[in-house]
Amino acid sequence: MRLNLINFIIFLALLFVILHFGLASAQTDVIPDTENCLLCHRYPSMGRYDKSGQKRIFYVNEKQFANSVHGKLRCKACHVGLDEIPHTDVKKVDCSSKCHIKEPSTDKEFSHINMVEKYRASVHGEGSAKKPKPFAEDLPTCKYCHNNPMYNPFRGMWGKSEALSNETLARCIGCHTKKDWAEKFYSHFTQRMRNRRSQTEIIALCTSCHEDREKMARHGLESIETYKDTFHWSQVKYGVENAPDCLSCHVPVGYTTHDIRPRTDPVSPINIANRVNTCSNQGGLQTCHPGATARFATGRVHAYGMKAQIIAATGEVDGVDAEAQGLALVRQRAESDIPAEDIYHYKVLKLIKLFYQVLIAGTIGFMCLHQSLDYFRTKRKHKKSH
Amino acid sequence: MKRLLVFLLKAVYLLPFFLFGAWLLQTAYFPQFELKESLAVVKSPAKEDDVFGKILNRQEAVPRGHFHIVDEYIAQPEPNPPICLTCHGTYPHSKNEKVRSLLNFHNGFIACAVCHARRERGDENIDFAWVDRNTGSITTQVVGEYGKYSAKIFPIVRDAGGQKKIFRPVDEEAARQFLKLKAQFTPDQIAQAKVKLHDHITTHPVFCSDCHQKDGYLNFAKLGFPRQRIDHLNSTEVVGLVAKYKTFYIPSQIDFGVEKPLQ
Repeated sequence: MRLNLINFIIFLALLFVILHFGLASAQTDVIPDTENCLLCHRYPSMGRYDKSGQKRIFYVNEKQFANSVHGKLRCKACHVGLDEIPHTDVKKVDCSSKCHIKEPSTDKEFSHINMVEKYRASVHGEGSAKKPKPFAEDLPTCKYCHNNPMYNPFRGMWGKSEALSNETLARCIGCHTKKDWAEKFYSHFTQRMRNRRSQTEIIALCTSCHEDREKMARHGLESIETYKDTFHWSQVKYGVENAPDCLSCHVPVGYTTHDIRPRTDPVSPINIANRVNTCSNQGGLQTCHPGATARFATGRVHAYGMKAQIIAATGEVDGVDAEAQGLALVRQRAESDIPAEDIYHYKVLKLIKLFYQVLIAGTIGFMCLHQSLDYFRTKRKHKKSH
Repeated sequence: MKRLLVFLLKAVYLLPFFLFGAWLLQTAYFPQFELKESLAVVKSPAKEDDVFGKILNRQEAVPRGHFHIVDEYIAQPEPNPPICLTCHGTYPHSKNEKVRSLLNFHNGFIACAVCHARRERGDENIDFAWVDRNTGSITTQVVGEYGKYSAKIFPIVRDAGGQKKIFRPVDEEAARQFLKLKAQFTPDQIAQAKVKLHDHITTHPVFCSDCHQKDGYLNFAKLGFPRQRIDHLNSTEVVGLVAKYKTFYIPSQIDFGVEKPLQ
């Protein structure tokens, strides 16, 4: 009888250990794959080439997904119409749809609709039904900029200390006793505290489109290669902490990346009326140019580019068809964007450039001439002496 | 002759200086050329996407835009790839829309020859074994799970001395030679060479249901799969549905078990 009791206690202890570790591992590594999608999609070589020759990878890493911000969602919450194999009737993921998770502040079904609506009205949006933008295929989709972000590991939060995260979390768990929920909430909150991407990653993302001259010209814009000539870029390049990237000026404190507007829009942070605020980064963690004046804020950040050349060009440019696609748009935008004062600056700069070009050409040309004459004189002398 | 040689040497010496000077003069006195260059991009109408150029320039192994962050495993090079992959790529199955992706995921851990050089019933010469990805030698020490294995299954034959070696239905040396000389071949010769190269490739490759059944084409136990996993692999529920294909609704109750690393 006594032996049975001991056996029973050992059994309970073992059961506790198995359940404890089983559940603990389930919280971190395994997603509740109730739809059995991982039956196939956990294999890394799952994929095919589509009709455009694009490599389509259908692999989902279970552990990474479980630790991502979407880790609690079922696959079908986003991928609608996956009931059949092959998934011929699958619909494109619509980030504005409701994903059957309660948003805790309103207790309503969660959706990214707020951001999507802002994005649609922004400079990157496809325009309205009445006035759609041309070349809609050039515009970035949600997926172009976003992937499924992973939660930071605890040691990565607040920059350095895992212990600090543990201490902070311990305070949460005092009231919010469900540890799994508290950890998730803490991970979510701390992940949103700062920019997830480094400055160079942000610049790489923006320039992947904005340095494409053809693409920009189709939309009446000029490419922003000239950003790489600025002091801002130099700081980023040499790893200066908090160096300004694209978002620092185009999405400062109080703005959102989904709502970027053209600079002619009065709400845009780079609109001339808002530039003092933007340059000084008021309300931000660090004030970039605290003493920025209105005059300072009117200075050009990006160097003069093609638009200024077009405006400053006198008369017809030989061989250029003004009606060519894009050019008319560029010219039109240039005329409204660039004030007469800037054109004057550009002309002065061009003269200075010309002066130096002539000076350098003259110096090097004279050097070549001098060397050649010297060579022939030496040769003649050499001939005479023989 | 000597004077001509001296003149040529002088010309070669002076030419870069002249070209440099000409370029400087052009930028200094004719800057509109620079503008013309900038405008040339705008002037031309939007081109059709250069599909082949894009494919050629797409260097990244893992596409930047993949929403679900995929791990590095899929970008790992294969040190001893079957020669088939040289022409057919990593995703060789494309014809059968119903199963192409399913077949492609097998490609990660099964060599093409396993299915495409079908072993005839009763043929004892050919067997199957794991071949280590790094060393290229036959092994029983396989680690990993769910397609991420340290080895790949290959067909094996015994040579005259009784030693096991990988069975290669395509003459790899001949295939390499063909790829080298391909540009010189006429279309007819290319067709002939292809037929010759695929001489031992079956027109009726092994299909899902051939393996995923009891006593199927592959002996999972001999390959080292644990009992529970073999039961799962031999489940006919998925395979039966694919083979009989009408409309395949994803089964939500099938438990394919948790795979343990092979030992």
